Amino acid sequence: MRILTIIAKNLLQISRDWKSSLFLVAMPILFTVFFGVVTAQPAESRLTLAVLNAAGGGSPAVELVKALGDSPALRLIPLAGDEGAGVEERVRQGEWNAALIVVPGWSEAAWSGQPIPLQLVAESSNLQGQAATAAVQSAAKRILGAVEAARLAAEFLEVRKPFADTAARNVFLQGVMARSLAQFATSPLSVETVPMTLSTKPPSGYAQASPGIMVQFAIFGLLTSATLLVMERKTRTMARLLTTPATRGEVLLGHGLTIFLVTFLQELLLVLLGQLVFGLSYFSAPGGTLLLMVSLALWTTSLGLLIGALVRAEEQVILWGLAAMFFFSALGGAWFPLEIAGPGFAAIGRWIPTSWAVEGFQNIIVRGLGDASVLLPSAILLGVAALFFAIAVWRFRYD
Amino acid sequence: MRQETNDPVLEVDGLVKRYDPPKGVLAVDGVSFSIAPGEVFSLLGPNGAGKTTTISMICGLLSPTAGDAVIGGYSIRRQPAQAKMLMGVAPQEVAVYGDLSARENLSFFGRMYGLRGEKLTERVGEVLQTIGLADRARERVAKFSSGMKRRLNIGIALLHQPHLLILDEPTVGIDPQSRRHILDEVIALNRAGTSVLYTTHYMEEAQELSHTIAIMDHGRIIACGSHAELVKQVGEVDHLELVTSQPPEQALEVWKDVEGITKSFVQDGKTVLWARAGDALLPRLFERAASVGLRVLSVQVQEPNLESVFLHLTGRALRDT
Amino acid sequence: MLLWELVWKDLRRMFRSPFAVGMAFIAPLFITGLLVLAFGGISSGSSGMSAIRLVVVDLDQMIPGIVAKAGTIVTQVLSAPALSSLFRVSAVSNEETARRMLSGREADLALILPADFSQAAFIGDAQTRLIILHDPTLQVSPQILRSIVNDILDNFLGSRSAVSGALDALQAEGFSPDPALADQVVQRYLVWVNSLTPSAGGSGQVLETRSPTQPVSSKSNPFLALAMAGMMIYFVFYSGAAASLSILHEKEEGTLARLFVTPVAKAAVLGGKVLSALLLLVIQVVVLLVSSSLLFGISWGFPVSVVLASVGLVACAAGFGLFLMSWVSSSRQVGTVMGGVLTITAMVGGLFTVSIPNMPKAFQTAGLSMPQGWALQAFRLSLNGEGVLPELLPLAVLLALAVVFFVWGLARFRRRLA
Repeated sequence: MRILTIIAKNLLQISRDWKSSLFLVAMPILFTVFFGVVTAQPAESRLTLAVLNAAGGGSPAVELVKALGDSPALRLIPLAGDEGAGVEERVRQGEWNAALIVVPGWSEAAWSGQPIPLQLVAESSNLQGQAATAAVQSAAKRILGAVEAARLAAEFLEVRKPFADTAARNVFLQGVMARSLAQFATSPLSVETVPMTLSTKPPSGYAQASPGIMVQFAIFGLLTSATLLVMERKTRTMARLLTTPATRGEVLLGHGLTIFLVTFLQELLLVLLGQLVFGLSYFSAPGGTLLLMVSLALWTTSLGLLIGALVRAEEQVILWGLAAMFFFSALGGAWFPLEIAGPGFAAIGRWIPTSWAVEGFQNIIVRGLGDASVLLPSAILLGVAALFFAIAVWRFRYD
Repeated sequence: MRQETNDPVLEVDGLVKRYDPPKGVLAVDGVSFSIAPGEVFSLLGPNGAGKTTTISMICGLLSPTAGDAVIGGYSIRRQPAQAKMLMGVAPQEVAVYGDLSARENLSFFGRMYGLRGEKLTERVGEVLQTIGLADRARERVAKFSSGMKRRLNIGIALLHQPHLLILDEPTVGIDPQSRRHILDEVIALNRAGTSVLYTTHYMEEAQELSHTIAIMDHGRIIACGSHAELVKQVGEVDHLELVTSQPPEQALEVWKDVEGITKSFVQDGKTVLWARAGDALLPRLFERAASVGLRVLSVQVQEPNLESVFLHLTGRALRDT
Repeated sequence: MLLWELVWKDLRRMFRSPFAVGMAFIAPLFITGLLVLAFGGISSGSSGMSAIRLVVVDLDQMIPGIVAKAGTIVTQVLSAPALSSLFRVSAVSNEETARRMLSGREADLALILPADFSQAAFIGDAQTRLIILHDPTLQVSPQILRSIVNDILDNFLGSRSAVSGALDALQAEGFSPDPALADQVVQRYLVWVNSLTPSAGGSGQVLETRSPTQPVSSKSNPFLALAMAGMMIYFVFYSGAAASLSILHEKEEGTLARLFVTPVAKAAVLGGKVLSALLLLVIQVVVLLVSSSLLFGISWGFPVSVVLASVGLVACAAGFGLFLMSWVSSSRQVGTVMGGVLTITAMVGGLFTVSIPNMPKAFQTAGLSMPQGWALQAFRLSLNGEGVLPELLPLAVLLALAVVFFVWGLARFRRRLA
């Protein structure tokens, strides 16, 4: 009963503080939308490739431009000859994903068997740049392969029966190249990537942002709820509470449950937002979602109590709260998938409880797995929570 | 809640507090006393004497290194919940929630003491009247003056009508008017039957309020009794304070060996002399002063008080320490 | 002289607060350090990703008369040392096991090579599909594998079309098909392929790729440098606010009133605050620029550009901090302002997303609605190695904003403290 009174008092205090609504409600929603939009797949998924054909009408160059135009991954933007100067700037500005310059003499060099490189302007440090590079590379290799096939055929034929003249030889070369390219076009081989998911919905940008921001702001919310704990000690009302029949256990539990409740309500808000507004399927495994929410909230509570136990002043709560948020969010894969992080980072990330929280939520909303898929993530969160609780209770100062 | 017996309300037995034993600071060194029903008991002593540490052990905030405090028959060590129900504690520093209203603060702590429903509403209303905050009950405490906060601080301790009210230096750092208000409140509560444990380093307060005064120094009670009993310890000594034209140290040199003076020292820019019969001594003092050209600007003769008792017992003045 | 005393007092107090020092110097370096840990690989030239755990299910059946097996070749290429930093390959016998490993998170990707793979690759009379199964949260690794496998398939197709092109042509000219000849063509074609494959020792180059952003130093990683710039700007703005917070603290401690009863002019007291804030930020920026360049090898650009960008940042951050704090009524609200307002403006200003490649252009434009966005723009230009001239626009904007913030903030404080 006393515990409930303490919780009610805490919630009243939190609701009185206008910054709670900012930290607990407005910012997480804002961030979810922001990151969701940023990481969402663009509607136009084809990469834009500007092409300047400075090689003129030589057949390999023409075939190359044609092949690039046929590529389902690319949207071609032909450039006039005088536009070559500003391509770097325009790629940098994001106007195109990449720009290709088919250098003069490229066709001739290809026929001679000594191909010269094409010039490509693309950001090697981003995915679109890398994908555009790969697409151009693949198309160019096909053209060069067809040219090489024609050259080989001509060479083997010539030994047995020389061509009548250069024109005849050219006709032969063009013929073989065309046949080769036709074979590529009707390739019997294809590669398909199949996501292994039981979910019927395609993953959206929010599949990363929603659980990620949920984890981040669960910690960020401590700025409000753990501050309460420190303020209570600073104003000595906590010591005063202990002069009443309330026990230390009741006081600690009252505050812990407050943090838990606040975190849980915030999670609930974000899960509902994800489900109803962003079209994520948290409800496909309601039991698993609930279990994971509870586990994450308990872990957050233990972190809050730990911060509350270890720091003295309100501003230190902000420092440690922000530090914990940056640390656990970044390493836990809340901001970007651990997949794209370096080996060391990803390896550390696997040991961070928040990465398990993100993984657990994604088991449901991305992988379409059932309730059982959150058992391991939940167990890990609860295990770390137990450890934090133990340290917090051990180190907790009441005055 | 209140039961009428003659058993002591509080019995403190050999309380010891040593921080970080075995070598840490010995803050309280074997304090024992008891408070009878209806008694106002003051712990008087300089800052750092161990008063707050003693109180913290009595109200269960600190666990004693040795000894026990029994409130209404309940040991604070073994039955803390029952013991705490019988006490109301107003801590030295104001401990209230600034972002809650006065009424919300009272309601919250009332619930902590198990008050519910009508009884709670009734008591909150009564306490608000008692502490004179009824018309400001809905305002957030953060907006209160420090005197109002102090009153609320005490009010919280009254909610559950405790047998023993513990007030730890309740008048530190507030204006004379609020101070008077608090002292009057304590007297009124005591008249209504509440026992009070009061700590202070103002001897005037201890003198005015208390039935019994315990003087603490260096973690020990060095004297305990009624005001009259304590003063008797010093004996029939008058207490002369003289202001002179020359520096007091010089005057001290002139007078210190005058016959009949038992103790002499300088305090607050005055020369202080203790003597068995102060009135009779005065002519001799003036005589000696005139002989060396020392002019006496004023003379005050005082009866012995708690200050003299402390000085007598420790060799130090209460207000200097 | 008096002013210096005031400034010195403020600086001393700030540097004695472990909290202020932590937020000013340690936090930005720590976070960038985390990013280095996360993405450091990009700068060192490797893929920057941890090795992908790939299971190959090779169901491919041998075709009578052909020694090679397409499935085996693909598996060998993927397991070659050249790709070992990218893939950790293991083989399993059936799709069931592969799926189990994927759902058990023992593997990231599974490549399933169908039974008629060789048939389709070498004879070409069957249509078949290679399947890459992947965890749905993985977006990059499946595409990497796909592009590599496509490349291998292209080599199969290329050599086959070379062979058939040559043989068809010879047949058309009346020569009979000759298996030895076919083999010769394949061998020649593969020599050519290898000449274009760096991992096979080839020196030929199909593409010459250059990055549109050309950092001044080649060892500087533009991604990291931008991330560090973002963090630096965030925490410099934070310190700017923290420095002006001391006005509130002094007001609450009562020392400000005490200063005002001394003969020091009120303007000098406030001026001292501004000056100490500026000095603190200068120290912070210098320390961060130098230490990040030493720790992470970031080259910030031409000295003049860096100085211009830094001047703009310091002036604007100090002004913004003063302005912000003039709206805060007590130090209790500070957490909100520090945690909330600075974070939101930084977010809109693009500080947190600066290192995400290919952000929609609208975000960069929107970022310029915040002072942080302009500071970022200034450092972006400097990192790009642009000259002084383009740097002048953001600098002018930052200084103009600084003036507005200072004037407005000081006016508010003077009114409040009157």
